[in-house]
Amino acid sequence: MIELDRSHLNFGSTLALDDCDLSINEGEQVALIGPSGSGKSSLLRVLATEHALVSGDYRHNGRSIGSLCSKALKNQRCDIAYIPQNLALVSNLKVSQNILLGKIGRQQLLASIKGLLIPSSNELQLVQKILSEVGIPEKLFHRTDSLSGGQQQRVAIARALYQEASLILADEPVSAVDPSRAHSLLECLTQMATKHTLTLICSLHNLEYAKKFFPRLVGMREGKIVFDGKSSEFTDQDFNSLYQLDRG
Amino acid sequence: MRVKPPILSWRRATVIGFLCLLIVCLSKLGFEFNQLPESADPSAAAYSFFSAALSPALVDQNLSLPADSQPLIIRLLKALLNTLRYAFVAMSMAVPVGLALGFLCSRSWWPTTLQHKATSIPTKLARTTLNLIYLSARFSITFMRSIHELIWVMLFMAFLGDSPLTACIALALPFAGTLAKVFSEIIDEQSANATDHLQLSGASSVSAFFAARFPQSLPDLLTYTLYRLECAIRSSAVLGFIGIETIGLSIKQSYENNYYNEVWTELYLLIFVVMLFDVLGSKVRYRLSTPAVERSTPTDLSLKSLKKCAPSWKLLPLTWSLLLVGSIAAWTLGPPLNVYHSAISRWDRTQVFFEELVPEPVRASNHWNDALPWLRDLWTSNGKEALLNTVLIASSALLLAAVFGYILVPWASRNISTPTPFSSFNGRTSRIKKWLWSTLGFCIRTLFLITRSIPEYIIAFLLIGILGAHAWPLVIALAIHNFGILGRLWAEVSENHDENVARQQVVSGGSRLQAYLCGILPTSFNRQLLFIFYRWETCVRESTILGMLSISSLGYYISIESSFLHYDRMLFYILLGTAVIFISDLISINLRAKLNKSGSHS
Repeated sequence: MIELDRSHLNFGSTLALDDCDLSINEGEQVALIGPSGSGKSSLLRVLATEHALVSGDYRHNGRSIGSLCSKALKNQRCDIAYIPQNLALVSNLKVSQNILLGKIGRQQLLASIKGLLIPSSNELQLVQKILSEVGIPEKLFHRTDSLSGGQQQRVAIARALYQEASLILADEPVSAVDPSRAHSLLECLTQMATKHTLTLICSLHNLEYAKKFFPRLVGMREGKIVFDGKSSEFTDQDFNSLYQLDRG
Repeated sequence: MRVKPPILSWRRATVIGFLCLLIVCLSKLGFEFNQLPESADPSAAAYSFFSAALSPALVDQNLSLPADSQPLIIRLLKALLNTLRYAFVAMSMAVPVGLALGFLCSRSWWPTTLQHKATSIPTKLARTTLNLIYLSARFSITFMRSIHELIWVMLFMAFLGDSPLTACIALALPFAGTLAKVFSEIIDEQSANATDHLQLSGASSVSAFFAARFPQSLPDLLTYTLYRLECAIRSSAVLGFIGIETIGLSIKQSYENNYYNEVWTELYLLIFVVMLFDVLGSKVRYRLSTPAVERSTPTDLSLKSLKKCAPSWKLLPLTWSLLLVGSIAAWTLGPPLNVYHSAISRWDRTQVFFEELVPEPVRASNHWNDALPWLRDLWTSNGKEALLNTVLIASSALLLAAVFGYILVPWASRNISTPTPFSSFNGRTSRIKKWLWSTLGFCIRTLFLITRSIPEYIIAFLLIGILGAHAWPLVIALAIHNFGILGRLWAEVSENHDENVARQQVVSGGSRLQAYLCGILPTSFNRQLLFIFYRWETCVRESTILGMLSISSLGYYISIESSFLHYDRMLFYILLGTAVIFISDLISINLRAKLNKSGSHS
């Protein structure tokens, strides 16, 4: 379970999160929506433990992240898979190697290097199984930068699934692909989350997809959470208010 | 279905290849580090030398000096000023020549029509002329660079006499070649968008070059010039070993008289000055690459007010003024640079020198055919072995430097050796732990700085006194110096690397070292290899001159033949060294081009 309590975050003079309260149950699928600069990515980065809150509290599975020592934080991080907007794939490694990096937090240094250089047959078979689930099993030994944008996004999703985390955070996972690919990617992501009973939090610009694939929406504006409810309850008026379209 | 990964990638093959080469080099060198006579006690010599590091001398150790002689510190400061002076004089000659040759070695100022296939006769003629200029300039700079500055100094002194100006001219020559090479590369690497746009607006190719491409490359040109000034200071110090009055001469004399405390004072002074220029260089580099922040808001929109409040760095004009004043002072203040004491006129010396360059049998018989047996004899008697030793010393030193550098580099990078690796939250951390992380990075960066501040020639000279005259002191000296240089270059690569991948791995629970090895290393590997090849070429040149310290590499025979005035034989060994540099340059260029190509896919 994820709980944010009166959370504040700022970068210099820029306020990124302003008094945010949020609670997300295990297995829930939530879409974060809002205009650019509203704080969606900052919220995901806080949930991914990339940034510590300036004030307030973030609890993951009952443990307050801000008070953890580095070793305990490392253990928590193994349970959170984060797909950043830029995907953070090592461009000149093979697809299999990038996916194997998903478990980097669970391995000792030498084991992670060995896994990267001489992966076992079992590991490779598991990676290929996940790649089949995301629809690109034939790309196992291709260099990652030889793949299209959509295929690279699938690799990032596969890496998150391989991590075997209970929480997946995805920042604009379909920002760089055409509508048909975006549709299939989101379908893949939500299906995987349902199949493995994972909590999924995903920031999206496209409201249509957000409403279609996610049962719960969280709307953000200027660092604040201004809407939190079921997708079916999200009205045109909420939309106008979120994007400030009624200000003329 | 059974899944099998491909067996060997080229990256793994390169690493395995390097390790095999290191093993071959080390087995050739053997593991006998100490080759002093049996009566000598190397550990006692090492102890007395290194223990003196803790108590550098502030007064003369030689008690028999006359009472009215200058105090040690004044003498050393004068020697240090001379070192700086000769470096400034050499650089003030090298920079304009380097700029002119760098311009000629670049094709970016050529009219677009001439860069591609020429069709009309006047265009073909113009293209051929430009190509001739380009190729001559390229050959000149390669030749200038391929001979080490100390050998140029020996050559110039043979016919111009041993004045400081001769040494400065000889120092300026290879520096101009290196500056020209790097300048042309920097100019060619700039984006062509702005120059293309200006040419489309009707500007000529040359004016578009000076209006767009040159200003674009200026920050990099200035940064590199500052780095070469730091190198010139080190080279100027080494001039002392061939009799020019710099801090190197003081080090040599103090060491030969066993005044180790004085040696350490001299080393500390040299390290301090080189570090000062290194730090200045990094501050200037930062300011050249980062836009300045606005100091205050203009009160009105008048030109005067806007100009007064315009964002600018104060350090930059200050540095340029200091460098300009320093160059003018180096030429005008102090004792005359051009002193000549010989009874034979310079003209006569030059004539004799060039006559002596002709092989001895040819001089006797006037038949160039007689040169062939003479050349064969030189090659089989000493040339082949000296050449192999030179390459062996250079390769072993570089590979050792690379191995130790690789181990320490992650801990020297500012984005790794910090309480928050890759700018990510790292849990609750105690103050001591934070301090330890920051201190670790600082200490390793300082280690790199100190090791690259001492010229390899001086390190080798000191080590020979402790370990004896054989190849290992040269290998260790070259390895120490290159360890500092590679460490700095590699740390900069990882600091400038995109942090997103490594940060994502830290956020997934990976340690900072795992994130470095799995997130940064794969994509920066090519760049790191490029630096190894770049240093290999330099190492071959350096190991040639280190032979002048009585070890049988090419430099040993060059210095022996020079002292017997056998200039024809000396030229043979110099050209042998030049050939190696030409070949290593070619290999290096090809490998770099291949790596750049494969890097561009990543």
